[in-house]
Amino acid sequence: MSNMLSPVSAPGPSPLRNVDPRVKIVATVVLSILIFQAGPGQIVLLSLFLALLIVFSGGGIRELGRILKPIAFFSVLLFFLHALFTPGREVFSLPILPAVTYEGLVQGGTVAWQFAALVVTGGLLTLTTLPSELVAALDKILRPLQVFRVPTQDLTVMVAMALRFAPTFLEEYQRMKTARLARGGGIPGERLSRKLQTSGRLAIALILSALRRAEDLAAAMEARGYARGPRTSMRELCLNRGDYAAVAILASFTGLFFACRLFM
Amino acid sequence: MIEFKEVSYQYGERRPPVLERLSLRIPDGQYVVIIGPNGCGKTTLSKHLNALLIPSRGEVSVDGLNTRDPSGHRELRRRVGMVFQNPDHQIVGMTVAEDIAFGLENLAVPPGEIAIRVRDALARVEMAGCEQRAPFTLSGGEKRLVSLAGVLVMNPRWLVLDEPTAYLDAAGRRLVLAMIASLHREGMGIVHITHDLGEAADAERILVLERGRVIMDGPPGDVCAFLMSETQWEIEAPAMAALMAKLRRSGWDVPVNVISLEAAHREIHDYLVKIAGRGASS
Repeated sequence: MSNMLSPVSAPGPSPLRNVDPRVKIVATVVLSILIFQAGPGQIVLLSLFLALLIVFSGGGIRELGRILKPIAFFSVLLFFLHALFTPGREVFSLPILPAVTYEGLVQGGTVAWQFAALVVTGGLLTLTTLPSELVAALDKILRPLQVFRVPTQDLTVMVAMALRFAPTFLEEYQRMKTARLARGGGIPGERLSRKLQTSGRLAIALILSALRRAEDLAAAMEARGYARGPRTSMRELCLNRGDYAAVAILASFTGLFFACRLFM
Repeated sequence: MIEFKEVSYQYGERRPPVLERLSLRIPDGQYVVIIGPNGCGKTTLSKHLNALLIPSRGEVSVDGLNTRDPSGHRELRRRVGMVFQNPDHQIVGMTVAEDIAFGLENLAVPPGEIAIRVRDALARVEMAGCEQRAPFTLSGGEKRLVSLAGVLVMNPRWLVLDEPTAYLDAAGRRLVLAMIASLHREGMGIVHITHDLGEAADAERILVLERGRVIMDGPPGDVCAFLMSETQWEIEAPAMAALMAKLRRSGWDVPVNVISLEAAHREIHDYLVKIAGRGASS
């Protein structure tokens, strides 16, 4: 289970893998904005660009499927909700349900695509970047905010800790669940009210354990000299020619996207 | 030198003190084992060593740095490396290398130097090549070694280990104890907290703690004999000492103040040689 949800992916070699994580984070933000700005005309352009990025990430159709699988149901649901409940020109009608409209189909298709495209964009970032690189990049990106006394160092460490301890908490949750099973809980056919009650207890136990762990962790970090003040990082990020090329490609694509919006 | 002067500590004003007017001195480079039953104040004492806790009354100083002075905390934490009981609560990095680098990053060591020191620290705990492994893929023993490396990389003068063999199998236990002994031979001062007197074979001094007070302070042999002579203590004497006591009750002229298997073997061997010699001469 922890392996499945491991935050420490081991991205294989690919052109996108080699791009500086800061550039990838900025690109993810820019692409997310473009996805929300896209009308039906720009969807094709953005889809092509995302397909190209998938190829450059070293992932294929299988990887795309893996990213999209968890959200497939919600995408389909979004599509149908819009198709059925958006007023407009009727295309066909179904028994009991409201009529499917042309505007509804277009809007449903756009929203479902936006949802899927956002997930693919985020997936590309995590697929080609180690969590530690993401944290290092976040640290660099947020650093200017220190001028406004924003504790960026603490924020970055919090993100790092959250990523680090996600698999540990999953392991702990599994342990608690197994302990419950070993004592006769979770028998098939259990009533819903009982199931909810037990889940609540599990959640409280997990939260208490997380709090204890957080306290121990804070002591361990302090013992190793963690405090506000000057720090360095083992992972020094520096932009190279490839990164500048990636920025140029992103800027050109953004220009092309808005040009399309103006003229299409 | 580590110095505790009349140190008392309580976790809340209404709660009973965990440490009570405790005074002790540990000279540079000494290997001290602190032993005692659960709740006797061992971990509380250890947390005073690098200013994680500040005494309610009294003073603690390490190499002249008083723990009450916050400006000296960074240097204090560089000098006193602390390995906690549960490595899962100590490993903060997403990879082994990142975790070991954490302390150095806090000390603002230049990045190039960090990479070299991380590599050296991993080699020191016999885990070279594990830099990119994720902490949750490590075994209990490996996690313990990573947490030890994370402290050693800061080049501390003192190493405080809170039950370093907890959660380990026999092989892991042997490895960690051998490593502690080797660090002590290199000149590092060791404060080793444990329940098990059997782990104190390589120590120069044992402090027995009970209800926040030191009830016995001396070399391992003396402490062992003291614990064998008194039955009211909550600490169990090492298996070797118990064996020697049984042999002694059976009429063998062997000492009871023996902790390690090697020392027990030596004593029994000497005794057998002695009686064999006696038999031959008569």
